[in-house]
This record gives sequence, structure tokens and C-alpha cells, in this order.
Amino acid sequence: MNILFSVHQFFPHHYTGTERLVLNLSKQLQKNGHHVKVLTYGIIETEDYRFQDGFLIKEYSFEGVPVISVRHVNIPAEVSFSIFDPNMEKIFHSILEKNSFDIIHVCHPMRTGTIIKMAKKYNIPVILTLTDFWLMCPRGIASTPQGNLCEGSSDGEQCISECYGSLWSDKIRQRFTDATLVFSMVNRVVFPTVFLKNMFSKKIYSGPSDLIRFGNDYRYIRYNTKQYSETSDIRLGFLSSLLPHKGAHVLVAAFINAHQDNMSLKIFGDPLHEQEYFENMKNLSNDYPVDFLGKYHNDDLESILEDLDVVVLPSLWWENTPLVMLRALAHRVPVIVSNFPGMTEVVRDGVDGYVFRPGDSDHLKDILIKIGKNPLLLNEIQKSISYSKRIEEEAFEYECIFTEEIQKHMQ
Amino acid sequence: MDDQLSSKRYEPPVVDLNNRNSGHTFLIELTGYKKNVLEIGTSTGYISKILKAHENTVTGIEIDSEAGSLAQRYCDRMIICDVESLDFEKTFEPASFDVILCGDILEHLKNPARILKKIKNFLKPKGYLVVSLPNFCHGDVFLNLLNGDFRYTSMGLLDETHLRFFGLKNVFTLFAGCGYQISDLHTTNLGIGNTELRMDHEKIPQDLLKFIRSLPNSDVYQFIFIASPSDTITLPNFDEIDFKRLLSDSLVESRSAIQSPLLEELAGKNQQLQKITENLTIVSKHAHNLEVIIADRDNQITEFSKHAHNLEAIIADRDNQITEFSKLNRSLEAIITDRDNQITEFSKLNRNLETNVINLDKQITELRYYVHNLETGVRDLDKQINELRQHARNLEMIVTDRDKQIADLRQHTQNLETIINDRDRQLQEFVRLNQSLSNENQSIKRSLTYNLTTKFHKKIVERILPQNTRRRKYYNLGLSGSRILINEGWDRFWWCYNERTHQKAISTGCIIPLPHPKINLQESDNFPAIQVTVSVIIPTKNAGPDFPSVLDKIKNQKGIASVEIIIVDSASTDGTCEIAEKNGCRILFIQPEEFNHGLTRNYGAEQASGEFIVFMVQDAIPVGEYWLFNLVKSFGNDEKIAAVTCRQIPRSDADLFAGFILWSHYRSLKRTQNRVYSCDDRFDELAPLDKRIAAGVEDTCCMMQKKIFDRFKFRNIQYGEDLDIGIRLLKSGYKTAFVFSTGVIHSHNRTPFYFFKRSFVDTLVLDSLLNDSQKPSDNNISLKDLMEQVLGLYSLIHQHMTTLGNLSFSGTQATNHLKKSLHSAAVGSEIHSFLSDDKQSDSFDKMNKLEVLLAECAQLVDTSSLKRPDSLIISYCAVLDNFSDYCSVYPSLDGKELELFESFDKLFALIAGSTLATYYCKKSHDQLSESELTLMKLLGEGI
Repeated sequence: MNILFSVHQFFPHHYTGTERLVLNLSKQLQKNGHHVKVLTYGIIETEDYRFQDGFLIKEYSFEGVPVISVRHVNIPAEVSFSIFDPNMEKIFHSILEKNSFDIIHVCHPMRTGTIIKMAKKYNIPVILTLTDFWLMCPRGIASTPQGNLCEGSSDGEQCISECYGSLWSDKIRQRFTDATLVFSMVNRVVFPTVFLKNMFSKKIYSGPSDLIRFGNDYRYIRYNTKQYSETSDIRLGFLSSLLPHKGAHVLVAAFINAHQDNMSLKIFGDPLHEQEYFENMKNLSNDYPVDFLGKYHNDDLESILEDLDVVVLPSLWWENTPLVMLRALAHRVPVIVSNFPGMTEVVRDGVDGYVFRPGDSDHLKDILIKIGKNPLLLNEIQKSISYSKRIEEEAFEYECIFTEEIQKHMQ
Repeated sequence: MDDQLSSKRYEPPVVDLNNRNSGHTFLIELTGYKKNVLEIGTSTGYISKILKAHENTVTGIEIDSEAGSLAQRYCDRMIICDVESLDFEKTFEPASFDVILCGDILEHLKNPARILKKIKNFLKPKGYLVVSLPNFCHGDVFLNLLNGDFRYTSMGLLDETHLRFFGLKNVFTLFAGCGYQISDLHTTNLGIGNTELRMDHEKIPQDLLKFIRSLPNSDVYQFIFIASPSDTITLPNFDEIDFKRLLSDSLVESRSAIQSPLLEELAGKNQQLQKITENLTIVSKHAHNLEVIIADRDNQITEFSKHAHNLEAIIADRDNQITEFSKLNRSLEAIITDRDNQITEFSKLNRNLETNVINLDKQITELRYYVHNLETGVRDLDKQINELRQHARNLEMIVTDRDKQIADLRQHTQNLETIINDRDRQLQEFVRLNQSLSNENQSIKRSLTYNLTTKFHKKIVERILPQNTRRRKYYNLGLSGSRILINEGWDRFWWCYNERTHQKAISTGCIIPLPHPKINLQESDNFPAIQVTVSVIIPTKNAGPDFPSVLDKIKNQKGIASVEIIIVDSASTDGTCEIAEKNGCRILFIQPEEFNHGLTRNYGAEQASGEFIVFMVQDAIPVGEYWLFNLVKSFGNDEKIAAVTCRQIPRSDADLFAGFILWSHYRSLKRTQNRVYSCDDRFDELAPLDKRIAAGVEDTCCMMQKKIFDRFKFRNIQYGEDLDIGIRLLKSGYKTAFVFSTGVIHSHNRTPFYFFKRSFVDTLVLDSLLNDSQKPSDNNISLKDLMEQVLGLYSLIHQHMTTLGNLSFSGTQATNHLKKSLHSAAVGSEIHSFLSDDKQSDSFDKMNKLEVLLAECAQLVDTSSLKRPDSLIISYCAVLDNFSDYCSVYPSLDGKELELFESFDKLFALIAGSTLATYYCKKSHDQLSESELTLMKLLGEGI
């Protein structure tokens, strides 16, 4: 099989969830003997590009995976807003001419979404995986500037009235027309969570789809084998950005009020631009065993999770299955999560961890007291954690879909 | 409760390591990182906590038990006692600590010198003390003393628990007396009036205040320093204080501010006084004259008593004058008062001027800030210019690149033109040739001889070999065979013959529809379960770290009514059985020596209660939650399908060769789709490869119908029990299936040593089960000859691998390079180092396991030279080609060079193992010599 992965940004400068998905899939499919290439957009990269068809283009290899990066000579302001860009058709035409791909897997339609149109022209089947809200929400986070959660819009009118204003009305309407076009052109749609599928099905797309959950790379997983006694110390952990919507303050408040002598809290994460929020939280927890340990790197997760007994995800917005939660479950570290469907479809209350009402620090406090007074509960949770998806399985499931679509296409 | 602790009063709200005026900051900095620290007087451990965070090993001593119990959280060892009564020798080993931390502690001790001398023995050779002490000679202490007040406070300079007091001189003399050299002296400063001993400044004369401020260290609150044990101690020169000068400087300074305007005023006042004095002089003169007159009048009184009245009048007059002088005096006083008012006004003016100066300073600061902003702007512009320059350079490069492309295209166009011309010429020649051949053909066809021969031949053939007879078929075959033999040579003829023979293969093989089950998102929990029991049988021995995950995956399978797991364990020692027990598995135990691949699995199967049994290995991880469901589904409604084998998927940590070996395995067995195999009674007619494809049951993971398995079972053979049962099933009319669309994650990163043995064993097994050995062309070739060729190949590969080291390459380039080198090179006459008899030599120590095994083999068959292995080179190049195909998925193997080089060795091991095995395939056991049997045992064991 000759597969093209399309993603809005890629390693080495970008390394969040979707980029990691593309890298993992590519490497695993290479191991299975398939030819892969990644098409991406150089949003911040400037080095080593050459000029071709009115665009800048470069080819490089990252960890053995071949990558084609394109970018405009002058990056337009709406590059991360629009779905299609007619100017990119020529350069994509050249790329498709030069390579004979059997299938194209669009892992994020931002910036390089035009490849979907071009694939249609070249009669190449396209698989679309949606890992976030971007195709239904131009802001990408499914919430308004006032912080209200938003279930989306079918035609963009809600975006115009609540987020963008009338000056943007034409562009928003065009974007929603294009989004509908995307769904009509792709051969198959894949969601990593039921929650995301449900969000899209409310307003944008309710057609058939597949569920392929994110896998963990078990090369870096060491199982938590701790056995807890009635007097065990418990180290809670928070691993995310220190931004209000991630809810660290809810955890700090619950931790202080829980007042459990055998508990300590380690907070990993970058305050980014919310310095005041960070300082307030720090001052609040001065007299308590709360350590603020700063930003962490993905490579450190193995040792960080080995040192923690419980990971808490107190988010106040619609989390779509955070990778750190999946990673903690893979290590068999129990988790406590806000009651948002992206997380609770994996975490069963009282089985894989605990679930509390979003933003309700009293509810979270009660859970912490329950664990603090009886650490033996963690032994049971640890035993019943069942999330064990591996990247090999994830790649295998995609490989099956690719094979089916190619066979269908050939018939 | 914590707040009631007496020690808690010393604990700061925040230990802010950015505060450069905090004793804590210096104590922590001077202590450093990753050291063995003794902290005397930990209080509640607020310093210990940070020292711990700085990766120090902290031992704490604290007199207060409650504070000590809090500090214990951060200390590796905590001793709660009075340090002066602590028996150091019994408590610590000598030279235990890098740092001993005495933060504000010595002043509390009855005899600090005794402790300082004592703890010296417990410092490591380069160890030191980090000390902080409060400064008794602070200005606020002086002012209190001058006020007759020596009051203790709850904390601070005159803490009520202080027993000792130190100025800087006393600090130096104390430590010098105890054999310490002070260095890295830091101070924290609190101005006079800012300490807990603050006096009301309004009551203190400014001159005195200035004087005390001018005294050295009068604003120092604490001294923080390092004290290192030293035999030679240098004390700093403490100059005697010139109090007289300091006092006069203070007074001069304090007065100078108001002196000059007052002097000016005084000068003015002096001028006026001078005028008054002049007036007074005049008046005095006048008075004198009056006195003269009075004297004269007295004389006149005497002389003229009658003028007495006049004189009284004069006296009265003089009284009036005195009254006037009094008035004048009062007016002078009023002037002085006026001048005082003026001085007050000047003072006000002076203050206004100071305010103006402050305002001007502010304006200057703002201007500086403005200038700074301008500078930032200029820098930004510079940056933009640089970016534009970079962009221009990029554009230049693009232009250059395009020029190059144009030049290349021109060159290419020229080449194409040349080729076209060449082709035109060739075409013309062909046309000419064609024409002449056509003419010749026409003339032959027109000839009488041709017509007669054709007619005669046709008739004869039709007569002797009629259509649709076996004779005619053989005639046609012979005819086409002769054509191939004449036109394309013997090799091609032989290849076609083999192809034709093999066409009998698997005529009934077909693809069965086994799509990946479409699990609708909403219905995933309600997927209907198949009402069967599946028994999974896993032989184990120290199953390894993934075993819990394997069991988890099996337990959590969906779509099957009931799953049981049966473990047959051969004396595991790594907790395998405990893990299995926790996961609810049935565990059967066997002794390690009882293990046999087939019989052990039979034993497990005997205990199984399921309609279906799955044989798998301990480290094969099922894919997804519907793995068992898919396997059961693969049987469909076909009762004849006895066994379904599923695909193995390389692990994410699989190395290059592990990925290749699986890929190559499925490609060579044409297993890239779901398939069902059956062959009725014609199995023996199949080509060996087809036998293997059809009968390829793999017990890495295969599912069987229990009732069929019970009839066949695995046989007691050393290896190949799975292929063997597959053959027996097919021969008995059953079918086998392979499922590509589900599988298990299973791969191993093995060594060349393993592949050498594995290939040897596999070849023997395949030969015995399928009669599939690659027979050497020369049946008389000896094992020694084969070994010499094997060693020759190894030597050649290694000669040329060294030339690949400096390349930055793709796998395809590297394999091509190696292939080319192998074809062209000759084997050196030297004997490879690992064949040396000297097993004690350095080179023997450096040999890898494969070389040791090769050396042992060579010794067994008495091989001491190498031979150019032409036939092996061809085989090796064929597997290299296959490997190169696999590597082509990687644009570059940078970073995988080691894996690539190891792969060349592993490919060699495959060829070497199978080459040596072929010798044994054509010999019966009793035809083998003792050394040959030993070699066979050596290569066949341990897989």
C-alpha cells in the first residue's frame, strides 16, 4: 500500500496528539511493509524550502518517516480558518502526479484540506479522522469567547452571532458549506471517541463512521504494581496547562479542604500567560504539601507516572479524551475526572477511577477524603482498569479500513 | 495545632529564593545540590524541604520534638535532641557530611566553641559549615543601649533565648579560635529603625542617628558565611574606628544643609547690627557729650545750684532717651523674629526645590524608558531587516535552484533528442530488417518444399496425434518445451517445467468474506454475543512483562459468551502463576523437562471445556476486543474448517529485521488476504511451498474446533507440530484457514546466533514434513566444503560491510552496494580470526555468539580455510533483494545503521543454517559421522 497522511502540522516543531497519531501510524505501517508519506504545512518553519508552483516546498525525513512540507510564500491570515484554498491545488497536483498513492488519510483537515478535493480529482479514496472540533467550530474549542460551552451550528449562524460578528458572515457561511462538502467527498469518517462523533452528529455530520480509539506506545509503559495499605501515602498529580479551563484551582481547593495528612499534590504544567492565576493558586497552597513542578515533556511521563498514585483531570471544558488520561490508564494509575463524556466513556466511576461534577470542588474533596481514609480502594481500581489499546492495534485497525476501501475502489 | 509550636515563629511564610536580602536564600545557595547535609536546628523543616528538593541527603537535629516531627517529612534522618548534649561520635560516622548547616543556632548555645570544634570531625575532607548569625552591633541595639534599655524580644536580634552575642570581630575570632577559615561572607541588611528594636526616631537627635549609621555594619541584621576547617587562618584587618572623625563628619554633615542660607542671613543681620552699632556709637557719643554736659551741669550745680532743676529736666530727657533705646531694642528683636520667619520660609523653599529635583528625576526616568522603547523599536526594525535579508537570500536560493532546474531540463531535453534520433535510426533499421525478413518469409511460403512439408506434417500429426488425446497434449507440450529450450535456454526451460508442475497447487483455495466487523458506535456495547465457550491454552515459562496485558486482553474480549484461559506452566519463577491466578486462569503445572511443544498443548487441551480452543504463546497480544469473535466467525458454517490461524503483527519495538521477517513470511506464503485451504486426497501432489501454504497452522495463535482437534492432537515431535497437524487435517479432508484481518501483536528482536540455529532446524523440519530442502546441485559435496563456503560468505560480507560505514543511505542503496561488492570480490587467503586455535587471544574475547558458534562448527568438521561461495552468494543476494524491497519503505536508515548491519548478519545466518541443514536432509542417520552428529545436535538445540 502507498499511503499519504495529511496533517496540518508535524514534527519536529509540533508534537501534540494528532501529530503523534500520524507518526505512530506511519511508523507502524512501515513496519508492516507499507510505503507512507506525510503531507503537512510549515506554519512556523522557514528553513530549507524550495520554490515550486508558487509555493515553498521541502521534503525531509523524521524518524524514518518521509515528510513533504508545503507553505505559502506569504502565509495568508486565514490559513488556519479556511478549509479549502484554491491556490494550493497546483502544488498538490504536482505531489499527486509524482507519487501514486493508493489511499489518502486526512488526520486533520486544517491548512492542507485542499488535498481532499484533489484526491477526488485523482480518484484516490480518502479516509478522514476527526480528532477535535475544528471542522465544526472555527475556534476549534467548542466554546464561546465568554467561556460558554457550544454544541455547534449547522449553518454557522450561531458562530456569526456569538463568536465572529457580521463582518465574518460570508466567510463563516462558506466554511460551513465547505465542511459539508468535505463529508460528501471522503470515503470514510473515523472518530476516536463516541463523544466527538455525537458532537458532530448533532449539527454537522450524522452519516456512518468508525470508532478507532487512540493507542498507547507500550515501549514506554511500566505497569504500576504498588500495593496500598491502610496507611499508605498518596501522591496526587495534575498534568496539564495551568489555565483556568483546565481546572487546577478546583483540585487545589479540594485538596486543601480535604486536609488528609497522607496526601500530597504534585502539579506539572506551564502557566503560559496566566501568571496571576498561577500565583494565586501558589499562594493559596503555601502551607500545604503542594509542589508546583513546572512544564513537563512527553518523554518524562514514564517517570512522572511511576511516582504518582492518582492522576486528577478536573477540566471545566469538553475534554476529548486527553492523552495524559489514556497514558495514566495504560500505566494502571487510577484517575479522577470531571464528568464530561469524552472522559467518562473510558473512565467508569468506581471502576477505572472516580468521576465528579465539573467545577464542584466539594464533590472532588469528598472523593479525596474517601481515598485518603481508605487507600485500599486504589488496589481495587488498579486491578479493574481495562484501557489497554496499543498503537499496533490502532494502526492495524486503520490498515484494515485502508485495505477495505482500496479493494472497494478497485471493484 | 502547628501554629502553637514555639519553633513555628521562626518559619517564614514563604522561602523566596529570589530574595537576595534573606538569610535563607544564602544558606540554601551556599549549601548547594546533591550533598550530604547535617542541618542543626531544622525547626519545622522549611529549609530541609528545599534542601531535599535540591537532591541533598538531609540529616536534621532539632531540640523541639513537635517541630522535629514536622521536619521529619523532609529529612532522610531526624534526631530530636539538644545538640549540646548529643554524643556525636556515637551518632555519626566521622567525615560523614559535605555540609553542616548552622542557621541562626550558635547564639542559642551555652558553649558554641565546643560544638564548633566537635563537629569539625564529622565533615568530609572538603566539607564546610554554612552559618548564619545575628549581628548584635546593629544600630537599633546601640540606640536602645544609649537609652539605657537592654530589652529582650520574642525573636530577632535580642531574642529572649539568645545566650551569646556577636559582632563581626567576635564572629571571626570565635571561628578562628575553633580552627575555621571564614569565606563567602554575605549579609542581610535592615536599616536602623526597621528592626523589632525600633525606637521613636522623633526623639533621637539626627546627628546621633547619623553618627550611628556611619558605624560599620550598623545596618547588618545577619552574617551568613562558609566556615571551612583550616590549619592556617587569616583574620581580616579590622581598622580602629575614628569616632572623633565620624562624630565631626556627622555634625558637619547635619549642619551643612542649613548653614549656608543662615550664614547669608547672619551676614545681612550683621550689616544691620553694624548700622545699629554705628547709631549706638553716635548715641553713645551723644550720651558722652551729655555726661560731659551733666558733669558740666554738676559743676554748674555745684556752681549753679539754681540750675538744678534744669539738670533734672536733662535727666528726665535722658530717661526719655533710655525709653527710646528700649523701643529701639524691641524693634531689633522684632527684626530678628522677622529674620527667623525668613529662615523658615527659606527652609520651605528648600523643600520645594527638593520636590522639584524628585520630579525632574522622575522625568529623567520616564525619558530613559522612552529612549529604551525607542531602542527596542530600533532592534525590532533591525530584526525585520535581518528577516527580510534572510527572505531575500531564500529567494536568491530559489532563483539559483530554478536556474539549475532549467539547466537540468535543457540537458534532459538534449538527451531526449539524442535518444529520439537514436531510436529513429534503430526504427529505420528495424523497418529495413522487417522488410527483408518479410520478403524471405513470403518466398519460403511460396516455395513448393514448404507447402508440401506443411501439408504432409499436418496430415501426419492429425492422424497420429488426434485432437483431445493425451498424445496430442504431450506433443504440444514437447513442441512448446523445445521452443523454450531452443530459444531461451535450459534454465528457462527448467523454470517453466517447475512452474507447470506447481500449477497443481491449491486449486480449491478461495478468499472467504471475512470483513472487519462493522461495529456501529452506538451499538458497541450491545453487540450480540456468539453462544459458545472458547478455551485459550497458553504454555508458559517466565511469561514476561506483557503477560498481564495478554490475559487482560483475552478476558475483556467481547462477542463471545464465555472464555476460559488455561495456563500450562513449566516452573516459572517470575510470578507468572500468581498473575495467572489473579486473572482467574486455570493453571496446570509440568516439570521443565516434561515440556514438549505438542504434548504440552495437548495436556492443556484435554482440560478445555470450550467448543473452540485457541493455542497461543505467552507474549502474543490479541488485537482489539473482537479478536476471538472474528476467529469464531471465520469458521462460518463450514464444519470442515478445522483450524484458523491469524496474522502476527510486529510490535512497536520490533527492529528492522523482525519487521522484515514477518513481512517476508506472509509474502512468500501469499498470505495477504483471508483464505481457506483444502486439497482432498491430492496433498502429496502439491509442490512443497503449496503444501506449506495450505497446511500452515501456526500455534503462535490458532483456533481449532475442539471435537476435531481431539481426534488428531499434536504429535510427539521435537519441532513443527503445528505444520504436522495441518498436513494431517488436510489429508483427512478437513480445511484450514488463514485470517489476515485479525491477529496478535507478536515479534522478537532476535540475534544472528538465533537465526542460524532456527534456519537449520526449520529446514530440517520442512524437509521431513514437506520434502522441501534446497538440494545442493552436487550431491557429493562434503560438510567441510559447505562449511568452508559458509565461512567464505561470512568473511566476504564482513569485508564489505566495513565500506558501508561512512555512507548516509537508504536500505536499498546499502543492499545494492553490498550485492555489487559480493559479486566482484574474491575471498582473501587469510583465515578469519575466529578460526584461530588460540581461544585465549584478544580476538576470541571480541567474538560475538554467532562467530563462536561458527568457530565451533568449523572445528567439528575440521575446517581451517575459506572458499569463495558462488552458489551461496546467489542465495544471499536473493534474500538481500527481498530485504531491499522491505527497506524501500524507509527513505533513510539514518539512526538504524546498527539494525541494518545486524540484518546483514541475520540474512547470512538464514542462508548458513539452511545450507548446512541440506547436507543432513540427504543423509540417513546412520550415514553420519560422529562429528557430523555432534554438529547437528549443536545447531538443533536451544530453539
